[in-house]
Amino acid sequence: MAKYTPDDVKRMVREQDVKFIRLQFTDIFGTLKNVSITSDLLEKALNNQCVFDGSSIEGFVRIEESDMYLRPDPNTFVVFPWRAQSERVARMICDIYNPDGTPFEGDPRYVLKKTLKEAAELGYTFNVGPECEFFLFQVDNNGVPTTITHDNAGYFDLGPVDLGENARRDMCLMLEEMGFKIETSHHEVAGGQHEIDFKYADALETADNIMTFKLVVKTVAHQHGLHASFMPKPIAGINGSGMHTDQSLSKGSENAFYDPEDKLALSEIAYSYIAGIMRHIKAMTALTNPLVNSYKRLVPGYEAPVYIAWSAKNRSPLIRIPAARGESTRIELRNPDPSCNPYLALAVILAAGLDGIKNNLKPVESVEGNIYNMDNQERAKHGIDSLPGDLNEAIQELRKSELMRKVLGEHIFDRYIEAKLLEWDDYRTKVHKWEIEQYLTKY
Amino acid sequence: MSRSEIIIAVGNEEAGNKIKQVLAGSGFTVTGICTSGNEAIRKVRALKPLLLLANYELPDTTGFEVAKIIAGNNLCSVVLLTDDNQKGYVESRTRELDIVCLNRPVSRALLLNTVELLIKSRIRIQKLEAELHEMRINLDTRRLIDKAKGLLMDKSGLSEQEAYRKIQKQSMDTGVPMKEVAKIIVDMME
Repeated sequence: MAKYTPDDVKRMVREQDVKFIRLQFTDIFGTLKNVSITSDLLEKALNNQCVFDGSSIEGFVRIEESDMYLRPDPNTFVVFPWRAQSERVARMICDIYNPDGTPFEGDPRYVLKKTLKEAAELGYTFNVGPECEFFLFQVDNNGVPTTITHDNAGYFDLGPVDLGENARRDMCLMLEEMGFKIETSHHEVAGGQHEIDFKYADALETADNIMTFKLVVKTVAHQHGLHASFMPKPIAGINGSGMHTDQSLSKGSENAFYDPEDKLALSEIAYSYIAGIMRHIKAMTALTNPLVNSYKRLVPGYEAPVYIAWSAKNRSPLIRIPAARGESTRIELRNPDPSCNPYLALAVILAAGLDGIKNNLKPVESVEGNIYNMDNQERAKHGIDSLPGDLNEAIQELRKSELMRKVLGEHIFDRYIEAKLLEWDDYRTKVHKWEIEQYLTKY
Repeated sequence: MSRSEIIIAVGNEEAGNKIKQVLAGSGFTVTGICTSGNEAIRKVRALKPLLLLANYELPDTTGFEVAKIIAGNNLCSVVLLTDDNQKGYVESRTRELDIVCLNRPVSRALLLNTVELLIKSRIRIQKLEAELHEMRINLDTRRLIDKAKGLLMDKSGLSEQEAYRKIQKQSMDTGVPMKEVAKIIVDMME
C-alpha cells in the first residue's frame, strides 16, 4: 500500500486536476457505498468532517443515531484510470466513526482492524492472497444482464475473437494502473468464467483490494458491453465462482507456518491454525458464503469443497496446503466465494485460526483420498464432517458461536443474523421455477 | 478495403437499414446494425470499425455513454445523432474526444460529408499511431544499443566504433537481432 499524508493527497488532487473524490466504505453485506464530494471539499474530508446519514444504509444504525463521520484513509488514495470519462475522479476508502469520535462498531473495516490488532498483539501479521473468479455475461438489448456467456454466444463466425479475453486483458491493465500486482489471469473451467489473481498483502490491504477489484472488473466489463457477476453459482450444472483464500501468518520477517523439521514442513502454529479454522468453519460459513445461492456452489462435482478436511496433496478438500515452502508456506481455504464481505470474512477466518493457536489445537489427520468416493460410514470413520448445506443451517451455526459474536461485535452479529434470516425466509416462501416445472403438471 | 468501416447503432432495425442504404449508396461498407448500446460496444470491440454512427437515444443506455466508452478508449470515431440540447451537453463535456454530434434531421449531404471526413482522418490517425509505435520501438532499440556500447567501452576498453562493430558482428554471426544482443550484453555486464 502506498504511504500518503493528507498533504500528499492534496498535492495529487491539484496536480492531476481531480474534480471529484469518492469517499468509499462497505456495508455489512459487502456492498460498496460511496459519498461523492467535489475537490473543493477535500480539506473538510481530510479533517474527518464529512458526515453521512447512516440510517439510509442497510444494516447500519437506527434513525436517532444516524449522523456518521467518514475518516478517509489517505493511503488508499487512487485516481480512477477509466478513460471514458470527462472529469478525473479519485477515491479514498474510509473508516466510519460515531459523532463522539469513537469507531463505529458496525463498520466492517473496523471489525477487521480490531482482529488484526489482536493478531499483532500476539506478534503476527496476517497475509492474504485471494483468487477471485467471476463470469462475464451478455447484456440484452434493454440493458438487462443475461446468463448468456460471451464464449458461446459471441461472434464466432467472425474468427477467433473472444471479447471476454479482451475484457479481461483490459481489467488487468486497469488494475495495474491502480497499483495492483497481477499474478495470473486466465479463463476458468466454465464457459464465460474468468479468474484474476493479484499479489498477497496484509489482510486490510487485501480486503480493500478485493472491493476495488470488484469495482474495476464491473466497470471494465460495462465498457465492453458485458456484465461481470460475482454471484457464486449463476448457472446450474457448471462450476460456480469461488474466492480461494491463500493465507499465512508471519512473525517479524519469518513465515510462522514454516518448519523445515516437520514431515510436511509445517510448523506447530500452522497445524493449530488449521485446527482452529476447522473447529469454527461451520460457524463462519454464513460470512464466507453469505447468500442463499452460495450453497448451490458447495455441492459435489464442481471443484468446490463440501466436507471439512485438509490435505497437502489432494485439491478437493476444504483446506489445501500448496506445495511451496519456505517464505511461501501458506494454506488455502477453498470455500469462500466472492459475494462475501471481505472485511468480515477475513476477520472471522483469522479469529478462528488464532483461536486454534491460543488453545494449542491439533487438527485431525489429513485426508489424502478422494472424499467424494467415500460413503457416510467411511467419512464418519475419518471424522469428516460437512459444511452447512444451506444458508439457514449456516445461520443457525453462526448463532451458536461465541467466538463469532465476539469477533463481529454485538451490533453486526445481531443485524447480520436478522437480515440473513429474512433473506432465507423470503427465499423459502417463494415458489421457484423448479417447483413449477416439477409439480404443476404432475399434480 | 479489408477493414470494416462503419457500425450503426439505432433503436430499431428499420431506421438502421435506411441509414445503411444511404451510406452504402456512396460506397461505404456498413458491417453491422445494432439495436442497443451494449451490442454496439461489443461489435465495435470485435470488428474494429473506423466509425460508429449512434443515435443519442438507445433502448438500454444513451448513445453518449456508448460514445464516451468508444472514443475514450480510442476504438474508433463516433458520430452521435442528437437534438440541440443533447449536442450542447455532449460538446460541453467531451471536447478532447473523437465525437461529432449531428442534429437530427440530418441531411444526406451533411451525413455523407461528415462520415467521409471522419473516416479519412481516422485512417490518417491510425497511420500516425503506427508510425509513432514503430519510432518508439526504434528509439528503445537505439537506447539499448547505446547502453551496451557504453558498457563495452567502459569494461573492455573498446573504441565506440569497435564496440558497435562487436555488437553488429555478434548479431550477424548468430542471427539474433542487434536489440537482443545488446540486451544480453547489458544483462550480463551490468
